[in-house]
Amino acid sequence: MKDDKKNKSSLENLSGNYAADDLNEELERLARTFQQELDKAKQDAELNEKLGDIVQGLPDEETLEEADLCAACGERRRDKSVSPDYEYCSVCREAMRHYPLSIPALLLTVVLAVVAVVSAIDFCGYIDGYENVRLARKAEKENRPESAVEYYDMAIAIFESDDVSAKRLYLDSADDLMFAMPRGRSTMEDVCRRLQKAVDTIEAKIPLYARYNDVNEEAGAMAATLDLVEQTMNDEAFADYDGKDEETYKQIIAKLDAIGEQTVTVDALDGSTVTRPADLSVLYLMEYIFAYSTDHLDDTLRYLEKTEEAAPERLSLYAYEMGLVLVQNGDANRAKKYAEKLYAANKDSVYGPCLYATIYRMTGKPDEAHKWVDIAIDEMPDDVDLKRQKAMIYLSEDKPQEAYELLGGLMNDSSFAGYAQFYMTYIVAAHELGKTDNQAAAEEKLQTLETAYTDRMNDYLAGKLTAVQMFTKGTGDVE
Amino acid sequence: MTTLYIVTRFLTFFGAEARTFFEHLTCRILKLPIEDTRAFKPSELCAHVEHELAPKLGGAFLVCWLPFTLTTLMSCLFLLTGAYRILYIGDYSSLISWLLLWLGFSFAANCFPTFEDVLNLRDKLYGQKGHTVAKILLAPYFAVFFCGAWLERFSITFLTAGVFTAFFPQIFTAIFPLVKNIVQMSSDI
Repeated sequence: MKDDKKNKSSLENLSGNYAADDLNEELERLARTFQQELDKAKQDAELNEKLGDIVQGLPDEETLEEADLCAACGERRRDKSVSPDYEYCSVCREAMRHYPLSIPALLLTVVLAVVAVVSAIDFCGYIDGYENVRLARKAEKENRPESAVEYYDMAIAIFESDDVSAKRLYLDSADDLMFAMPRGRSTMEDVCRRLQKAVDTIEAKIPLYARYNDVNEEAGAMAATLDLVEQTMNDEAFADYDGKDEETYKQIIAKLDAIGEQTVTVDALDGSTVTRPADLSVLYLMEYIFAYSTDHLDDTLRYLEKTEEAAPERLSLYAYEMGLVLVQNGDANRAKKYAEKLYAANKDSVYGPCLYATIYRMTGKPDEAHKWVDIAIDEMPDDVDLKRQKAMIYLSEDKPQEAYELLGGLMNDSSFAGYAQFYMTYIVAAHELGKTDNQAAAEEKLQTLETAYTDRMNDYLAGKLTAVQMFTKGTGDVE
Repeated sequence: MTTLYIVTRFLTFFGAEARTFFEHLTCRILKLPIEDTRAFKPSELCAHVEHELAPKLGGAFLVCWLPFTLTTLMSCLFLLTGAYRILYIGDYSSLISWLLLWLGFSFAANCFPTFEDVLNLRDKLYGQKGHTVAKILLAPYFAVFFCGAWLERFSITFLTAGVFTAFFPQIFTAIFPLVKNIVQMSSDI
């Protein structure tokens, strides 16, 4: 009873505490709250319903085959829009466009690029040397071996100044010298020197250098044969030989022939000593020179033919002399063949043009003769004998004035040291023009050389031979 | 044949590595997706980058031309000293010259693009939409790429590189006077 009364009084108190408006407000607030919660619940319900649909729409993992997975990441589906067989997803494909560069590869390439540039700079530093080698090779193709050797020597000097080995240049220049043989014995020694410089004793045993071993031995044998010839000629037994005694001539020839049966020793490139037969081409050439200098003209052609037979490729040894002998004997056509071979083989040499000039001079074609001697003079403008050749052409076409002026220029040069054939040719020109003073001056110079007039000069001065005949008939020269 | 090809790539290691790098670089420039950049993989694509084919003519040409040009240029620069010193003048004693000769040979043996890239170029160049002027101007390049790529499949470029190296001084000598003038003008400046 007391509790009921308490409760009743509490309620009465509550009613008393809350005014009607306040109660309404509270109820309205509660109503709004309930409505909000109800709306939220409805939204959640709708969202859940949608998510439920989506989840239901996703394939289960068991339905995505491994063949459909990206080969790179293994998670995403392959991008079939690229091609049906494409192996990667779109995300990985995009990443592949930016595949990072390998740092080691980058560094290596940079280093190689720097080395390449340094290589190019080094090449530029020796460009003059390489240019000389190029010019040497070009000269070889143009059959100008002597020019080629000059260019090789310039290149060798450039490279060797920096201790750069140039073996190939020594070998190639030795080949050119061996072919051209421009300076006789000193050339043979030069060939051996170059080959020894290029090929050491160990390399000499390699088959690659076998050919150069042969060249070295060949050049050495030629020089050694020359030594034997010189020993024979300097033999005391022949010290008094004046070139006239027939018996002594035959003895000397017999001794020289005996050299052909001998052997010579040569220093090989591998350091050993090799024995080879004496070089017959050199021997026969020396016999030709001996026969010619002792007026045994009947023997000259025979020795030259033997020289050619012994070494047909060594045109420089015999071709010019052979051509001269043939044209002197009236066989101009055969002489021309030697001139052709000589000129074709070595455009640097003046012997080919000189032989052509002689052939045309002696066959009555002075214009052609002038053309060829001018080619020779262009090659060697300071050569005195070429000027004498030209003067002989003028004299052969009865133009002594031109010959006199050409040779007179040299006669007036105080530093000029002439030789017998030059002075005799000048004397002919002066004699034709009646210049007796100049002729006497030349005769004095001839006397200083202790040389007497040749038989042909005596015949000319005696009136038995005209100037034109002097240079177009017989030997075609003053001797 | 693949084994022989891979062996020749190893023998020309530096050239192969550099060519792969240049191809990678070209693909990055063209934003072509690249699948494998390893230089030495046991397949026909050894010393090449595995990538998607270029979709346009410009890209197809560049992916063939740029690595080819860079590799060939570097080969020539190496051979300027290597080949000239050893083959032209006979300086056999310099180890650096031999190294440069081998580098030049290595690069020369690895200058051509893949056959697939060349076929792609052919399709873009001589396909239906090909431009006539481009067909004419790029024909020499295409011919060189095609022959080189075809030969490389059979490792014959290993031999052609040897021939190129052996005759490089003779080939370069044809333009030697021009080069000498340029060098002299440069030194005068």
